[in-house]
Amino acid sequence: MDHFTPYTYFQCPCTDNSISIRNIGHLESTRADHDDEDERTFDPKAPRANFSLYPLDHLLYCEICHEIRCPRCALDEIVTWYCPNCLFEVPSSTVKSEGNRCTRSCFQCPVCVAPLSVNSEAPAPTGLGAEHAGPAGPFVLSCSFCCWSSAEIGIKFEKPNSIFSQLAKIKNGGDPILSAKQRRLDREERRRDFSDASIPEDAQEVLPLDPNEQLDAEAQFSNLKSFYQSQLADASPASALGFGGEYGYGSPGALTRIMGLYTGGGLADKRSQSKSTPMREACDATEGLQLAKTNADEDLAKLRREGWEGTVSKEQRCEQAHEPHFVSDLRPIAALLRTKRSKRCKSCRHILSKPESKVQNTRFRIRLLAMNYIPTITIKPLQPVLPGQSSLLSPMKPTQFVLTFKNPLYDAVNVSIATPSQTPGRYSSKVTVLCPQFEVGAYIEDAWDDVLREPGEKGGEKERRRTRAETFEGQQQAEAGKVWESGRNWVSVVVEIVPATVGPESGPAFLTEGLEQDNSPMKEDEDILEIPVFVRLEWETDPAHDDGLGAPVSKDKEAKVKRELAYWCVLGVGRIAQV
Amino acid sequence: MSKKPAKGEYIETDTGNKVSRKCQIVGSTNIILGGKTIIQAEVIIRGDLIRTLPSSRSASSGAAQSNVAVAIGRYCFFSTGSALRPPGKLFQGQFSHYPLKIGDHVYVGPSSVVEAALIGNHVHIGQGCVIGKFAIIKDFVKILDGTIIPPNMVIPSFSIVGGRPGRVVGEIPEGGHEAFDLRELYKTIKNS
Amino acid sequence: MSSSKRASTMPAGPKPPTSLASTLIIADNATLTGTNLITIGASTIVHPRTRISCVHAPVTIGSSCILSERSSIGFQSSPSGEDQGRGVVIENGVVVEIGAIVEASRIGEGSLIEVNAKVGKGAVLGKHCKIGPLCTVAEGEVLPDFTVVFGNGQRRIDSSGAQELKLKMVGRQVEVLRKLIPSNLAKFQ
Repeated sequence: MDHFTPYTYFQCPCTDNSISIRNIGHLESTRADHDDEDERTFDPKAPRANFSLYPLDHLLYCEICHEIRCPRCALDEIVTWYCPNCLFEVPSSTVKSEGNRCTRSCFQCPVCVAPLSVNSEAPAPTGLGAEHAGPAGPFVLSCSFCCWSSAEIGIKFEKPNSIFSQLAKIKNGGDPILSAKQRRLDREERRRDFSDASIPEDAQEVLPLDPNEQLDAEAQFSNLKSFYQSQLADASPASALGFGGEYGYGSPGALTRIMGLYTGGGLADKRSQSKSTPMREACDATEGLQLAKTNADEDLAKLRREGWEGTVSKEQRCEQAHEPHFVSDLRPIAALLRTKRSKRCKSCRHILSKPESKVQNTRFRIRLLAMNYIPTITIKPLQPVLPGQSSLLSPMKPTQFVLTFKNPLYDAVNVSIATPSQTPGRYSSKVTVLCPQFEVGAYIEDAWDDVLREPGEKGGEKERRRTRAETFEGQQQAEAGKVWESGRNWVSVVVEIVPATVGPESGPAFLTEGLEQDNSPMKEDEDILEIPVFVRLEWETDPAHDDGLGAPVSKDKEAKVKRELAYWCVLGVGRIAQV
Repeated sequence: MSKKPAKGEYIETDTGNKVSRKCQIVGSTNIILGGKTIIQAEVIIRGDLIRTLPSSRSASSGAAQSNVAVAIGRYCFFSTGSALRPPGKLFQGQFSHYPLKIGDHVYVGPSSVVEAALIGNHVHIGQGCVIGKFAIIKDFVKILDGTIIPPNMVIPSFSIVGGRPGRVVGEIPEGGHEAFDLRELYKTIKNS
Repeated sequence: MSSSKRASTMPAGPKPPTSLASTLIIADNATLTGTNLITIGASTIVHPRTRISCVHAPVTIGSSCILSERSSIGFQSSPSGEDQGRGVVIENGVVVEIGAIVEASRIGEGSLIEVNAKVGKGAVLGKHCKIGPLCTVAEGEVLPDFTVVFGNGQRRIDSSGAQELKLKMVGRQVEVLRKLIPSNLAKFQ
């Protein structure tokens, strides 16, 4: 139940530490901000800390800037759009024109979001030659998870493929929808009728089209769009010649005009302002005007009739484009497209990761992972927790943990670590690193290494261990200033922790200087002991193989370059038992 | 089922598969194990539910390959109490089971039930999950504990899936690929 | 649970009284335990490792049902009322998937109990109900016909009208399983 996996989070150096983050959300705290930027301890419990901490596998490394890059300081670039359901790659031009949903037959259930499948309503053919006969229509979209079916909203399809375009033509209940294209043709026809008969424009009401027609959201949008397009074209005939953009905003003239309208002339100069003529607003359904319903009797009656089951839930409503109120108004949700993205460094634009563009290919062309450049840090208790024993930390009882640094670089790295002697926050625990400075050996890519280690894994590992443990064999006592264990490219040091007393009643064990006693109830996860650790790495490297990361290239020793990297880490050690 | 296993808990095959003596495999002749795969106690694998509908391809290539009900790759791990079963459906008026294919480095957590059509490589299925019939799970996918994957769902690569019904709730980060490797886990299973 | 586990380790225990149809397919390592009557109808499929327990009350299963591996049918404790005296009644064409626990007084025709679902003691399910994976129906609960329980316990009424097709599919599935699962009816008679 109290299962806790120790974790290590890394703070990306892109985080601006110049703003005190400790006091956000603590209005009552009026502590003077006296410490310098360099000396300020990073507080992992601060409300903002969450946004800058990442597990190591989320971090990338820029080889040009020699810096860690997190999702916040890397730029995403879309390589490929694809449908997560049919895995069909969608060209970006189609995404631009058709939107970011699958336009084939991939739909999600509007009731439970499970994928819908196309099923034939008719019983399968039987008898001789049945296996060669295709399934007969009509077809419905059905959910095999919650048993919803498009038959419930009165929608059936003639053929089992290209459901998206079929659905676009059917309203709930089965009535056809005029497509945008048909609408445009319809409108143009009407306009031609006007010009032929030379009827003034305000005589539109004469037309058989119902001006109070109930439009669905898409039809309303397309009517409004075409209305304003024509308005824009009429207002500035010059720009109408060069109509490039779909919305008619393509020309600089139109843009200035719009800017002028909405900024009250602040941006537009007088000349263009004088040119702009006031625009008429849409005034009936054919132009996209929909009056709000003042009479809800019909909805009320429906509500009474169908009850709670007939209404949609908040989640179901959010998935829909048109905010429906009733289950009968739900429409299947076309699958949202997904992307494959490459990442660039924000400061030097160098590519940090680049996947293969093919949807099915899971390889990466470039993948500069931080874990290949900075040591991984793992933490575990010195005395292993026996099964059945509580994994909670006992307050005020000194507990030792082993901190292991594993070096992925081909060069030895000097590591210095620093922790505050007391963890920041209300429940402040005491922390002592027994060996804050050490060198971690280089990673040697040795094909034999794995092979040799496999059978005699214990032998090889233990031997190394023994050299370290000899001095304090049996007593399991870590010595200050000395490394606990080390291997070829890893070093373990011991950290001693005296957990604070945590609990609603007990006051803070170690009152942080200047911080007033806060007796508010314990917040979520406030009982987790997190230690901020400042890690500083120093190493000398051959610039050639540092950049290449390939096989070590032998070069002049003078060519060595000194590198340095420093960042904050947070070690999640465990939960403290409550008193 | 013997009360006390005479030798080790696992029977080790020539290709390094370790199959628990307490597992409940049915129709083992129709199951292919790629090697170095662990099958723990009380795992049910239904190899007897073979394809009964002749596929259009097998008419020419012979009936031998159509008898495989469950194909499993290398370095897979099936935890205690999980179940693998080939999915079945009605196709052109005839019911048939279809093979369940599993790639390499696939972990299936305790008491999860898998009736997928295809599971790619490097897939982690948590504890107590239900993978619905004919689901297709691509490479590098993590399924969180207690997730229900609805039937016919396709899960693209690098997805993290959770919920009932399951939906994609996150993406596997670039640096998260190595965590799917099950070679180390294989080594931890000792036959004693 | 413990009773059925013990039973599986000693298959030589006394056989429960049964009334099994001759066209029943029952796998060799399914387990029937208890002292009350177990009735199973024609063309029903009992997969391997299915547990039917009549320790506390009788079990009646209709025809053309499919009971999957590791499912457990029958009361796990003694009936708590008069109306539960008939024990578990499963009507025709019911599918019980892997690991489901069924203690219901009645499961209506054509219902589907999904993987690892649990139907509590004395519950009454109408016809063509579907209890989704990992869903539970509480003890003594009564569900009307066509109820679908899914997700985290959400409920709705299935009005898609596809029930006939589903029953037909169960029929076809039974036909196929008859050929695939070797039956050892004599062991249980």
